[in-house]
Amino acid sequence: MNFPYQSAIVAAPETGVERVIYRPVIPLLVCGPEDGLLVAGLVDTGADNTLFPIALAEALDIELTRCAGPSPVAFGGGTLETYFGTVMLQISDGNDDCEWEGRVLFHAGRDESIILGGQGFLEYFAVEFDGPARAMRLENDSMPDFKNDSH
Amino acid sequence: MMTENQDAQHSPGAPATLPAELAGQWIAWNRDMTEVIAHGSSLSEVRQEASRNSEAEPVFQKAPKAVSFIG
Repeated sequence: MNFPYQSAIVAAPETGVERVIYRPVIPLLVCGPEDGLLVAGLVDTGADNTLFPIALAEALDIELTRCAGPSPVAFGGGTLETYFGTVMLQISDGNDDCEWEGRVLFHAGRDESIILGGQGFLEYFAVEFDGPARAMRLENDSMPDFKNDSH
Repeated sequence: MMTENQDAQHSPGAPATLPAELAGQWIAWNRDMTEVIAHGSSLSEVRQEASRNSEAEPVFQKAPKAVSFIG
């Protein structure tokens, strides 16, 4: 599956001058017991877990359990209050699609970021980031137990 | 504020540029993420607003601040 990057205009940290940057942000269907919502998340190889904001769990009536282990640490040393839940996830590039059940974290961070990291997302894919083409390719052919609707 | 390289280069099918003026807000895009159909301060508010739009499959995104993200 192929996904073009999303562009954004940010203030450069060096100068404050605005510039265009490109991020591997993709749409993803997150399903609760009754309903699902498409959300856009950042594919992040630096994240060990997949995280969604608690607002999404509330919107989809997803049952959450407070994490009993140590709080995940974000870059810079901050920690996140997290809960975990099991959801059905689905991605599609319009040609192929696949879905799977994943254990993911829900966080109470004020930025309400959606991060598609190791557990729950990247563990299922071979990923190719093409910076010059500003696009990303996700493959899951090597996952025999993976529910795959590709054709 | 000075701006350089302001124009995003879009490949075919690429999402629209994240609107800087909506930083920190929830956004509802159309399915191709080429057009903002609703925005607001909470997911529930934007979901409700988007439901009044004809878009059958809105994509919801919390727009990050218009600064570099390191994570």
